[in-house]
Amino acid sequence: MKSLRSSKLLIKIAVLFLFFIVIAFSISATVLILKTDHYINKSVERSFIHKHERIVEQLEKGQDIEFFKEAKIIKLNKGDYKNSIIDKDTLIYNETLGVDNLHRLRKQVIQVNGISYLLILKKNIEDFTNLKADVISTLIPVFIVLSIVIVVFSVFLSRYLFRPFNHILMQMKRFRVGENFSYESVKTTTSEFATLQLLYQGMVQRAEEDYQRLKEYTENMSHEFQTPLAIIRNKTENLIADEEVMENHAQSVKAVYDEVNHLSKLSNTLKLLTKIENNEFINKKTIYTKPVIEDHVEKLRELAGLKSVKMVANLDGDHAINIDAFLLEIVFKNLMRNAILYATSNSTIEITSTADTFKISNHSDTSEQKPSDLFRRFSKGKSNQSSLGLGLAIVKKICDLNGLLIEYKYINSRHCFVITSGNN
Amino acid sequence: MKLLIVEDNLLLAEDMQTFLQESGFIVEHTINLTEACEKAFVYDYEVIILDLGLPDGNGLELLSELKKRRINAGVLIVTAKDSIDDKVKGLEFGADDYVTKPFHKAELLARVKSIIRRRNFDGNNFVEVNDLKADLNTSQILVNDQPLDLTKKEYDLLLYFMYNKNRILTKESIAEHLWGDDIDQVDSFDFIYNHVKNVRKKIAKVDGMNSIRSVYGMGYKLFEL
Repeated sequence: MKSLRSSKLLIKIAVLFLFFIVIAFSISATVLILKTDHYINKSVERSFIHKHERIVEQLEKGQDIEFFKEAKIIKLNKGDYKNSIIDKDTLIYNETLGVDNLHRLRKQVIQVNGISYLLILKKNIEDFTNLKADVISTLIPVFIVLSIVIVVFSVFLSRYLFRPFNHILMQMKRFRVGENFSYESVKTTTSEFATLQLLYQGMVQRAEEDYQRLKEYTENMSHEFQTPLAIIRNKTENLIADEEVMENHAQSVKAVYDEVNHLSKLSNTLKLLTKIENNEFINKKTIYTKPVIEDHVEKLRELAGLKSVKMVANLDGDHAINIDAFLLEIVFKNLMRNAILYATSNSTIEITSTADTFKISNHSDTSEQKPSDLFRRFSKGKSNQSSLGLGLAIVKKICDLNGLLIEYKYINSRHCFVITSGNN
Repeated sequence: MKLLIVEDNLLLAEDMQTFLQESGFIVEHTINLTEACEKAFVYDYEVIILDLGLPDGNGLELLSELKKRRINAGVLIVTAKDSIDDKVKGLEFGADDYVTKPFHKAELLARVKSIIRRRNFDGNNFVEVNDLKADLNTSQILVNDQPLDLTKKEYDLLLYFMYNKNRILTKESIAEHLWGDDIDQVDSFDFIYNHVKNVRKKIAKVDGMNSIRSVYGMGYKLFEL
């Protein structure tokens, strides 16, 4: 699944605010403009009606209508004229000011005393359109100012109001179970943050307590198991040394002995796995792997030789891993032993490293397991029932906890394990 | 040669005591730190076998006291805590070696003997069984005065047999001795079979006696004739 891109809450809020402001402003601007138009039309209409009435009145009285400004009366020939009204906006040159002014013209046929007249009225609407332009030009700066205010405000929010929240987040980031984490609390009057802080502190405490209990339990169990196991083993060894017993009970004694050994190893290995999971190996440092690998190869060369398996190492001196030295030993040891165990006789184990990868491969005719099962606990190949099946699980766990990527491939009849350094 | 076992588990301590006595040592036993200090300060012991988790304190305290008083006894740390911390600390405090519980008794014996040999700086440092003669100073094993051409592991294996002559060494015990197996173990038994076969061949090549025998399919024994 593709992961969603995340962005800061405040940025999201600011963007949403801006979005809503754009909508709100568009609506209010439209309303304002419509209202202005309506007002202009109404005023012009009123003025036209007023003039119209006066002119009709004058005409009825038979008086002169020349003194009417911005009105023209043309007597029409007899005929049947429709009472239509035609409005038109037009520019008319103002000689006094030397500019064009916007006017509304109304042409209308009227009947007074049975005579038809063409009445042409005009009204300067320049001021009205200026008003409309003013409305629009006021809205834009207000919108800009408001947007700036919102951006500034969200910066202020993140700097000041959200400071306790960011502090709590930082504390959460710092927390590692089992590292004696001390929570530095922050003062806040925001009740949500105060609750969050309280809940988080409670959680940390519970996690810490659970961890300590589990650790104690594991340690005690492992410790207390070892002594009885040692006693059983020693007593069994006494029996093994007793020829009379062995004559009659060799099989039983062997079974007891084998199982107690298995149990003892299991207990030790599970304890180690728990320790790794609990992040108890914390002496991380950058280790150049070449000498470490060479050392292991040297130690195991003889073991491999017993199976007529050759070990060939082609190493890059720059390959380094940031890890606890003890864990690195385990990784190499387990992978190499695994390779020796599953290699066919008279084959070669190849170990190579580059600047950021480590690869080990061994020849084997069969791919024994599904790759996904390989790193599971207690999974073991068919040919090796006496192994615990924890070696690769440990390697995987160590890799996971140290930012290393381990992959398994079966290519050209070879089992390959590749460790790639990530960002650790 | 006198040994002191400091171990609070009585069953385990008795078992170790009997075993080491059978191997020709004089063995004393204490169950706590206080008693261990009293004994160690008064008597001379060749090797002190020291459990770290004691009821009245950590065995490391005895180590530092021994150092302070310049008491020259070998110390073998025995601990159930297989953390490297304890091992490293123990060795830093001046212990000679360590074994972790549960250990094979053959391993314990080999370690004790090895400490004794290592501390015996002057003079010849030989272990002899039948016609086999191990020279610990040169890490060589001779048969009829002819050196065997052994690999490092083969030398360790044969010496382990010689330290534990007339005892069955189980395959598990050999595997642990050779490869220090604490982690998930590979099926080392075929390897041990091959190792033993190779050692026998090399002994036969110089006309040595074949004194290593397989026993009950459980392990091997070096018979002293």
